[in-house]
Amino acid sequence: MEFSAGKPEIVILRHGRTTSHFPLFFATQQWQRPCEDSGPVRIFCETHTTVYTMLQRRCVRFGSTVSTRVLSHHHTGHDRRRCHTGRYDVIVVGGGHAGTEAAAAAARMGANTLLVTHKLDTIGEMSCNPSFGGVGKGHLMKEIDALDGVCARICDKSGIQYKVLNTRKGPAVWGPRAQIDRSLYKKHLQDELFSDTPNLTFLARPVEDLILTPNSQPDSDVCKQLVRGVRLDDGQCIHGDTVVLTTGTFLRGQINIGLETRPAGRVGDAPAIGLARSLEDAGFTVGRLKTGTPPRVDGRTIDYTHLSPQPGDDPPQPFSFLNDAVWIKPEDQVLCHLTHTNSTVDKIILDNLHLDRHVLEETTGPRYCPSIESKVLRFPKRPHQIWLEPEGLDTPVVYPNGISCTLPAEVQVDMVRQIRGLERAEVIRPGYGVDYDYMDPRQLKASLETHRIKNLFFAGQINGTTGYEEAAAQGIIAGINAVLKVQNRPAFTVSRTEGYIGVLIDDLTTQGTNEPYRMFTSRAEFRLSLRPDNADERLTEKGHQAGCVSHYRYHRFMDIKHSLDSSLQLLKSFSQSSTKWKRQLNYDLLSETKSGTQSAFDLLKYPDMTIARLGDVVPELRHLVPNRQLCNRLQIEAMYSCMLKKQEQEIQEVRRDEAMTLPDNLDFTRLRVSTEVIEKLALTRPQTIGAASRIPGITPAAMVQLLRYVKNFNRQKRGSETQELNPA
Amino acid sequence: MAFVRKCRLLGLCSRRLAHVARTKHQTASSLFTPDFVQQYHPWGVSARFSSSAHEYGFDSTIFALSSGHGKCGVAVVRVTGPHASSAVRLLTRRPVLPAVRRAALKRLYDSTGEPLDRGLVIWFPGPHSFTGEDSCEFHVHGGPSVVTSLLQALGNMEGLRPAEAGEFTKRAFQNGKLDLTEVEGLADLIHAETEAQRKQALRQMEGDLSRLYSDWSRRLLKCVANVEAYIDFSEDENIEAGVLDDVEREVCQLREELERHLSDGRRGERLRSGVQVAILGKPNVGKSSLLNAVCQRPAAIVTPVAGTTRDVVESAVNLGGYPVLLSDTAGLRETEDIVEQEGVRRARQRAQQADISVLVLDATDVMAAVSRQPGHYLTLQQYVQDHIPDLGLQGTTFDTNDGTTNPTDSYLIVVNKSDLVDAGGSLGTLLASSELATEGDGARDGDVCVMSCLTGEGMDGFLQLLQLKVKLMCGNPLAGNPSFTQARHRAHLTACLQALTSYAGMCERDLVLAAEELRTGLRHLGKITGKMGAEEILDVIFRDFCIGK
Repeated sequence: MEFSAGKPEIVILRHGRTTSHFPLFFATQQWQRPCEDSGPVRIFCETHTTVYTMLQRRCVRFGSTVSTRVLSHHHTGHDRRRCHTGRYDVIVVGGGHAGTEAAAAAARMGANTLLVTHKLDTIGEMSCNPSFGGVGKGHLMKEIDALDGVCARICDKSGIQYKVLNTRKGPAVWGPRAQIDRSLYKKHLQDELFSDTPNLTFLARPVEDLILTPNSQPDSDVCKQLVRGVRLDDGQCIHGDTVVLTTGTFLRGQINIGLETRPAGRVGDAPAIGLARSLEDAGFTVGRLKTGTPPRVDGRTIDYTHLSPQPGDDPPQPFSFLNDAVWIKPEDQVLCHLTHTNSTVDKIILDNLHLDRHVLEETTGPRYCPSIESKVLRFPKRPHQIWLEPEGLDTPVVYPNGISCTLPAEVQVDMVRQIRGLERAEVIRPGYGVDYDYMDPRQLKASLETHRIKNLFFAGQINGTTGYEEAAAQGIIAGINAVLKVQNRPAFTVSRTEGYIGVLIDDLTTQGTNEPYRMFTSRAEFRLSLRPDNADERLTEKGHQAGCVSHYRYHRFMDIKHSLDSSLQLLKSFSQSSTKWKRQLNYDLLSETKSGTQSAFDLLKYPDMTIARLGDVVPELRHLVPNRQLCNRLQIEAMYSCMLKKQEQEIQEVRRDEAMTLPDNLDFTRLRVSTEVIEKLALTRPQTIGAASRIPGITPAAMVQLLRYVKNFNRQKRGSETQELNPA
Repeated sequence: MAFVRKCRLLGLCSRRLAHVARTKHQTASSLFTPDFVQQYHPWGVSARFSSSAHEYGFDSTIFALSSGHGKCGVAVVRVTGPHASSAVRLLTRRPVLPAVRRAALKRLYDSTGEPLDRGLVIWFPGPHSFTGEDSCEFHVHGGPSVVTSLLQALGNMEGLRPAEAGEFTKRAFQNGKLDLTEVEGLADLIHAETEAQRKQALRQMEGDLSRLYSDWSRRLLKCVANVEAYIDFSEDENIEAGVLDDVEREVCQLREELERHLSDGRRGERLRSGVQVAILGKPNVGKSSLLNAVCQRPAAIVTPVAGTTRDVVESAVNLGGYPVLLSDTAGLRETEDIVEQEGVRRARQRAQQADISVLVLDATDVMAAVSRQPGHYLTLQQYVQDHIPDLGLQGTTFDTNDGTTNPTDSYLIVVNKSDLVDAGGSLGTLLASSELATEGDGARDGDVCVMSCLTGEGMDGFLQLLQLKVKLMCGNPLAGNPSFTQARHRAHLTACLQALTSYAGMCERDLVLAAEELRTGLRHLGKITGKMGAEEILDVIFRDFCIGK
């Protein structure tokens, strides 16, 4: 039995006997000596109490801290027919970023959760680039943190360089970003999930199929089945009230390097074929997408002398609202370097394209350039940027961001050696491309539950997105909604006016996607109000009502909100004429012709006006000055208040449309509109008038028909209710 | 003297005001306090452009022309919203509103004090009105000049803007005023969706105007895409530093062009009024003869040679009081001759733009096709369907396979040269077997006429049918009135210009706010030429810039 480095796992096979010695004896035969720095040891066994007491007696002997938290129930091979007795509220399939957020959210809300994945060690694995955040993606991370998600906090504990992008372009598009040490991230995430999260259990086995039964209370005419749990590859069934699928690139995943293809979801991991087939049989529309990753290079063989370094921020800004600082000192941050491709690189790529199957084949390509081959094909004869990003503090591996590549391994080495600074670089692992199945996200509701199978949720790259943050955002929403479904409460949805998560899910469920969906700020209409600094104001309260926000965070948020509100009021209360302000502040940019008075809040709109300056003139404001975060937030509020007022109308209009919900069992064929429109509506099954209006190709005539239907439906419902009340 | 002059400026009666002043024991001039002036001129000194983006919210005041286009005796303009009362006051130049829900004959004046017309004004304070808000109706003479002036006067008022398609109905619905059956009927009305109305509106303009607007739209989209790319990608990817400078230059240029267009727009915009009828068909079927017969003068050259007509020959006629613009086009066929090719291209373009299309068929060809068919069974519709690909008219109103029908288009089939075939016998049976009506009440499309331009037989029937169709079209409120369309377009262009002007100011302060202004401008242009959403912006970004994963 092979163990992944650093984390030995003991599998104790029991044959129904309860003697204490047998398992441990068996275990010692199977168990390798743990490494020096090994952390907690994970133990799989049938009935945990016995093992617990037994190991407690033994733990001194082995010397390492044996955390005896038991993680799963496991059967021997020959008992295939006997189904498992464990019953979970939520089963999450897949341990990537979506899966971990979903499982963590569900466990936080008190549901009995199980996370099933191929290998426990890959939980929290960052498969591609070693960074989190950016413009748009950073916004998503802040929102996930506002809902008490895990990725932002773990990034604050494991980042090796922190930088906020777009600092000169206005706070609405500031993109917090960090280079992350892969192993540290994994370690901290696994620590948090394995030890600090109650209600959460883990199991390392491939899932073969879903357990489906006919749905006796269908919400709509397509919802014919109900999911009751998962079946593992050895036939064992695990029952769960809801199932969240976050399998990422593993559904019929295929890895391409050069002309070789290998079925795999990620290098070293097997694909999930049975599951893909079962989903197709259930009637889901499946598409195929591809993505890729660059070769990894040994940093010790890179010549940095002529490359431009990029340092991190000083002081580094934390991702999470709960943290005031990150774990690393500003001066200890690593440097990233910038280099470029050149014409020889282009030539090698163009000469060897015939050897590159990934680029040649017909799977859908995105509009942007996912690989260096597509960059060279679409934008020839110009240098392309490559960012050399270190993967960790203790590892020499460097990730060259920008040369995602699927050429044969030798050609890749050749190509890398032509790049400035990498002339003598050692390629540790070649780049490769992954083809995978994805589910058309229009088959999902806004809560990420599927239309066809009740209690089944899809989240993450399986819906056609790319990026850890997009996956994590969907994961947390799916996790929350799975629990709310179990508790029979209304679903938790984020609207387009409330967050980038809303923009993401609305785009996916209303328009679908045929390229890996990436979040950009230009996708949001209300970019001015969806800022990274106010994510907590937008979402934490809502999350708290749903139950996914811890008390600690909620109380902290309430404190911040309270101080924000009171300081805003304070600022607005100091009002005097512009001439007076100008005189007191000695500020030239103030126009004196403005009649009427201006409050201190209005003054903050002007460039270079800070609360410190106002505090010199207005003593009551001085106590605000030391609180830097508060001052920043107030300033940002002031800057955008004018434009926001203009947008307020539009936002209200969208919210009004969102409030008009369409019933689940709406028979779209009864609407008097063209067949094309009926098809679109039937595929997407929008749940609000707002969502319906955003489907591409929906005519206003159809909208009127829908409105009429809703009115009619409500009238009938009211009529039947009054009839029930007065049966006579 | 100064007092009288001031009164005239404000459009008030000096005698009445003097009386008011005496009763208040004040001097007459002291009446003109700022508040007083404000009350009667809420727009301040004549504001030329309606402003501020918040007008596009729900509580803005909208106006629309409710009667159809073409020659109408009376035109009805409706206004609804919170500023409807000031609209009434300003147009009638009286501080007092007319009696509620009673038709009052009033003189209407425009913003400079010139008299517009004398017409009926009906004032409906909410909630007892069509939309549930404060509304008013102006019934004026139906001539295009009066209508245009009235719409301009309304457009110049602060807080008023032209309504979008179906907006009145939407407000009525949202205020719970529309019954279900009414909504059903009106749903068809709102089939004048933004796409169709826009297409129609663009059709009504000269070809170069629609090209001009589309060009602006495209250029502004590129600017927006560039700015967005700079915001989203400049730190990670290689976005050249000069990108923003290019944008600024382009925006400046667009501003100049827009300003120029708006300031001498009245001379430049020649809108076609009248129903456009295009005559289409294969070469040598008798299209030009038909035109000459209808115009009763030799407007087009007729020869036995196929391919005579190269250009589009237009002739304005009066059909039973309705203005009709007949267009004779080149025969649709594949040809080597470059002049004829251009003629065919123009013919196809005219087919797209026309309100009513007349397809002329040669009776001898039809009969020959019938005899070729096994069993001599061929319906006229089938014949037409087979004919269409030859003519290259796919996608127009004739192509019923297209699936998308626009109820505002209509067509007529004319079987010419009936003198050359046995009209009563075989042709008659052919028509009887088809499902097309020969004597329509004009309500059904695809009406057929059998005639001969040479002998004049069947001409009366054709004219009657055409007249019926034109009448329907004019009375149909879906058919966008050119004057109203013009007012709408001006409002959008003005808003776009304002947004572009704000961009320049915002650029240094905060790029995101500047991008918002550009997006607003694009949205307004989009209401004329077509919506440009995030996906279109992203398309341009990825096409022009190399953005990695």
